[in-house]
Amino acid sequence: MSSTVKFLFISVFLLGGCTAGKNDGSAGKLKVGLVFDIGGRGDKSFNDSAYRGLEKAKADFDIYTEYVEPGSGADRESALRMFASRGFDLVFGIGILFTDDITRIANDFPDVDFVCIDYNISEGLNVPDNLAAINYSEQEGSFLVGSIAGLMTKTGTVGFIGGMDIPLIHKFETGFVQGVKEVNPGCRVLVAYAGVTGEAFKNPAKGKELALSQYHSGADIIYHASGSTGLGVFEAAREKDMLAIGVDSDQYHEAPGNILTSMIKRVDVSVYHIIRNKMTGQFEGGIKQLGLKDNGVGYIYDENNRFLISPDIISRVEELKRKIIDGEIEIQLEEK
Amino acid sequence: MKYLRRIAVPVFAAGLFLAAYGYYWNRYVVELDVVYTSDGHGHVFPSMMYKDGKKTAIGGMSALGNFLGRLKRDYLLADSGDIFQGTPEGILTEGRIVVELMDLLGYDVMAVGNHDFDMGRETLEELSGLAGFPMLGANIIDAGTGLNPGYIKDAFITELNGVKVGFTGILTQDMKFITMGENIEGLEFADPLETANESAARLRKKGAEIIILLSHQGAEKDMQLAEGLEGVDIVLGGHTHLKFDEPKKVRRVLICEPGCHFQYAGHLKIYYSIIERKIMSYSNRVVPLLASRYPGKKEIDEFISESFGELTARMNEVIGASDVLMLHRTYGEDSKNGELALGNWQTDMMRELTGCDFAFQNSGGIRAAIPDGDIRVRDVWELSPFGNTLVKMVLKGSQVRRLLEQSASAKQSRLQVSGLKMIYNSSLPEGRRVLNIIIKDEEAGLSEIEDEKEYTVVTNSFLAEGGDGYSVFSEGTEIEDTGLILRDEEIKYIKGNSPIHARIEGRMINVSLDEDW
Repeated sequence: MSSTVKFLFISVFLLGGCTAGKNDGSAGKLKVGLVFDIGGRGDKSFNDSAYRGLEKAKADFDIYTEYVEPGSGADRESALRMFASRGFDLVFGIGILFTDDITRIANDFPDVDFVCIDYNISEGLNVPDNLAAINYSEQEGSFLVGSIAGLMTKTGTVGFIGGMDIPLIHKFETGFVQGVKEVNPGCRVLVAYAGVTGEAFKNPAKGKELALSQYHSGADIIYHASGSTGLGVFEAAREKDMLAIGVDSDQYHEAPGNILTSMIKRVDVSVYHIIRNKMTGQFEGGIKQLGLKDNGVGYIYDENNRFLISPDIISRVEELKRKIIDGEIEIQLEEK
Repeated sequence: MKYLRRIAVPVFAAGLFLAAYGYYWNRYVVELDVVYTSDGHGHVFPSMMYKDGKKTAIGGMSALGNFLGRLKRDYLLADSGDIFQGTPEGILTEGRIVVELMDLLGYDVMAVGNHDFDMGRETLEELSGLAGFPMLGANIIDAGTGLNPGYIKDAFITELNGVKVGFTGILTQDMKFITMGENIEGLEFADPLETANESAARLRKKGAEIIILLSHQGAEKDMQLAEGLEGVDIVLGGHTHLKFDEPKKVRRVLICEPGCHFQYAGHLKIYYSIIERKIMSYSNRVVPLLASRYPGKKEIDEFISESFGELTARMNEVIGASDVLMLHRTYGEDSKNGELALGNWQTDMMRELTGCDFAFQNSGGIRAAIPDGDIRVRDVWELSPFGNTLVKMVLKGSQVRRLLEQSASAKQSRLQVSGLKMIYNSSLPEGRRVLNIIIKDEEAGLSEIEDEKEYTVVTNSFLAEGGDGYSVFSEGTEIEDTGLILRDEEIKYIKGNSPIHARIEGRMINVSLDEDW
């Protein structure tokens, strides 16, 4: 009896193996489509980071890629649809503005996998299984650059300049302020926002004006989370020979010597990892929260800025990082 | 009814096919059992495995005996090297206890590993003479004769269930970096791929139907090797202590890795058709030899206590305690930094003993965890099995910087440090990764290392010779071997300073964000 069961089992196993083998052999290249946020490539920040991830994946794996830089809102949705209906396997939408469109389209194309970088998580919005909704814990990285600022300020005053006054940017502010206070409870933090519309992310003149005002009020280090508005912050830092902290990508080269560090979001790494997982059949939908623990956010310390920050401060910041990862420090976010 | 009629023929045909297939399978396919181990490192007794704060006793040669005793059929038993050295039993008997137990367990064949040379070539030669099975190393060549040295064979054929199985063995070509020079003087290590293919061709000629390569060069290299292997069916690997629950398949070659310290027994079943004379399929399991499931086998335990009882009793003597469990490998965030509490403890002690400015120890030389609670002589022997001595020298600041640069790029063999603190970024280009080297002085406070200044340095005799590729040590001046044996000093130190304690304290900080990208 047992030998009958055994040969049946083995036979079925072998037959199953044969059919699976045939399917594998006929598969072609993985097709990956990517739709950029407004601004597109060349922003030296968020979009370029996504592009780096795509390029690295293309270099490392045998995949076919296409990308689109949309102009207005309607293009975003049609670009996503275009990729999905042309039989792409994996489609990226880069930026918080994709949230609603990509959720809807993911429901319309259940056989295609989607990824939204900076997904706007809100109650009542169900994330379908074929959508990876990526969200970064910007408050954690901001906390660390805040602690650097708090340890380094000579005037006891530092500044924060946000782009558009929305909850996503408040995460940067609130993390930064708590990081400053953790190491320097008496330190003053000046806060300003460039506006209440999308324009607030691309207004360098406004950025410069706000930064000059903060430097004038005694701040010696300013952290910005304001897209290309920040280029104005850097210009002010250069003019006044003060310090600024960059955001999203490493912005050292925008004002060498005046950029203390940058709080970076590893959009490149996320894009790369998701493509790799898709390649190996390990794509997972649902909400993904990426923080310090996953190297999803972090700060820069390298050969450029090691002359600006003392190693003692790095040791201290690494201790704080460990505490955040271990849950010993909790960063309070504002109520949504 | 109509429906039934429609499917009756296909069902009948399928049934016929299955029945025929089953008949064929039962009658003409033989099952060949191969049990495989590697990197036993003298672990006669179970070792402790630490995971998620729990400790579990696992493995050992006696447990393996229990496992083998439960197999109902004949099997082949093979090992992929590094079997003699690593525990006091292995070292103090110069491998004799291991070879005697291997014979008792019925080993058919083994490959020679790098650590099998640790007690000198003469010892290995003696062990080979004692062993009732061949030791393989097809690419180990005597530079004088151009042949394998007499005590090492290139290949071996045996028979199981009427099928001729051929074995060959290869050893990593990294030998000159990872082994003390004197132990391999006059030996050369030929190209593993060429050697294995030649050896496989010879085995085929002699009638071997299945060819198994015992490889002691690490899982990753085994996978690369398999891309070019011709005639070899199966690689049973070792060296990197990895365990493959599912064997990997590269082209037609099956690659199996069984872990280390006899913690697991690899059990491969080969289904071989005696009509077609070819391998039909495999099944494989890697069985954890948990002490709770596989207690020691009685006759083996009796043999050990009769022949080596005094020795094992001496090794179980408690010499002190530790107030914390200190692991010999890094986990999670710590892997990125590379700092070990055990490394801090060792290097601080080395510096205290010699009064040097800095101490360095290779992470790969830290071989076992120190438990919290009682420490036995055995634990220290397993931690520091090599018998290395402490060597002092003078290095310039710039040379120390080069050492640490190299360490910042050496994932597996980073240096443990005392007397300084380093911050590095492993995602920067090689050679530019170290950002700060800071010296703490009781009086002067913190300062960066000075390139032109001379510092006194203590390290172990393996590194002093340029081991693990750290050739900067061989540039040192005023080199002095203190004759102090690290292991003996550790035993003394624990006796005098119990309970010992050490922590990870941020001596090595890697600020990279790109660990697995």
